[in-house]
This record gives sequence, C-alpha cells and structure tokens, in this order.
Amino acid sequence: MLWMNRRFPFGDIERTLDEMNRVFDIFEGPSGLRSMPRGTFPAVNVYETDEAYLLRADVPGVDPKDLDLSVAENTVTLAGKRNDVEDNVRYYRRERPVGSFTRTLTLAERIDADKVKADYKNGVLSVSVPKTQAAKPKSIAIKAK
Amino acid sequence: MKEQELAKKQQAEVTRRDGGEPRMFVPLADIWETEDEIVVKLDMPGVDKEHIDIQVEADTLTVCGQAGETPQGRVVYADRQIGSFCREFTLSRDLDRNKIAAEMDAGVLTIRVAKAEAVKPRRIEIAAAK
Repeated sequence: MLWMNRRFPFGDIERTLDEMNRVFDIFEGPSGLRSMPRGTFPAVNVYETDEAYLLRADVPGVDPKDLDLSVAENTVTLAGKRNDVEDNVRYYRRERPVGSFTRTLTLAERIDADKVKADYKNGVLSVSVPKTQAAKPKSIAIKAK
Repeated sequence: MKEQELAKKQQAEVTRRDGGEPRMFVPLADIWETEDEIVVKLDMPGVDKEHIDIQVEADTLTVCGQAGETPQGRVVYADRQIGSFCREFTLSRDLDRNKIAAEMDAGVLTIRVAKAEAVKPRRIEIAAAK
C-alpha cells in the first residue's frame, strides 16, 4: 500500500516530539510579540483587552478531562496529555505529537485567579483571565486651576 | 486607527513572522493501515467542518480548508497556525475510491479509505480430500 505525500515542506517532523515537555515563558510587554518555533505543543494565542487576557490553546484530540489548568499571580499553566495512539496497526506517518505537555504563560499584569473561566470546543481551549482591579487602566482627571 | 483595525494589522504581522512564508500551512497527519483500511488523522483545531473541503480526483486525495478566528482584543502572542491549509495524499490502486468516509471530532479530522476487496486478507478454507 503506497502512500505518498507530495506537499510537505517541513523536514523536521520528529523534532515536535523533542519539543514537548518544555516550559516556556512568554510576553515581555506590548512590544514583546514573538512566537515559538513551529511544532510547539500546544500552540497558543494570547489576546489582551483592558479588562482581561484571552488565551486560546490548540489541543486537538485531547480529552478535556486530561487537561490541567492552573493559575498563579500572573502565570497560567496548561498541562495535559494526548494518548492518541493506535495499537496493532502499521504506521506510515506519525507527525501528531503524543505524550505529556506543559506550557506556562507569564502575563504582564496580575490576574484575578478566582474569575478565570475555561471552555473547550473543537479541540481549542479558550481561557478568559480577568485582570485584577489594580491592573486595569485608570483614567486620571486633570484639574484645571 | 481604530482598535479593531490595529488588531487585524497585528494579526497579519504575526502570521508573517515565520520567515515570510505565505499564509498556507500543512496540517500534521498520522497515517496507518489496518487489515481493512487506510486511516488518515489530521489535527485541525478550531476548524469548522463546513470550512474543510475533501476531494478525490484520480489518484489524489486532497484536504484543504481555512483556519482562523477574529482576534479578541490586542494580539500579544500568537503561534497557532491560521490561514489556508492544504494537504495532498496519493491513493494506491488497492484502495476503493468509492469507500471514503470522513469524520470530525474534537478538532481532529479522521479519513478512512477502504481497501479494495481483492487486496484484503482472506482466509482460505482447505477442502477435505474426498
């Protein structure tokens, strides 16, 4: 049974497995926009408003019961495992990462750990992380004499 | 510039950060064979099944689609793959093109292609000599 794949630009599929189990710190401030190399699992986007951060993590095929989300002062850690492996079959390609993973995101401002909400849909975990009152921008009235 | 426009611009910048490659990516796949079929599993987190197009033409199975979302505020970090994706697979002659099924579950697309009857393993009964 010959299966070939014509369009595959990455020659480094196997590295995805090596890149798991690492802990990454991100975010240096508004100008600290940067991305991890392809293959980091799970891939994450972080959006920010005045009120909150919104995290989106790609965790396709992961049972939400196997996800562990924890928050501290200004960090969010997502850990879990994906055991998506078939027994007694002949594999031709195994590019999808399996095993345990941990990713820690360090956010610029303090967060309200009690109000963090998360939901899982279509293999994406969405986490809403409100900022603490102190961290929200305040408008200061300027008095004229 | 309005905040929304700015977010869009930042999102566009994010997608260009990987060495200026075009906004097209290749979803990761597992491919395996059982006695009866070939199975292809592709990671497509956050993609609606309405945004996936699976085509079979001659010896080629093509899976293309769109991944993406509207940024929910200012983008401060992004490494999820967004934009168009496409991946092609060549079907061997031993596969039955009329028996292809696809299913989407938890952001994973599973495509099953049945083997032609002629190539499936068969048990040969041994007739008793008369």
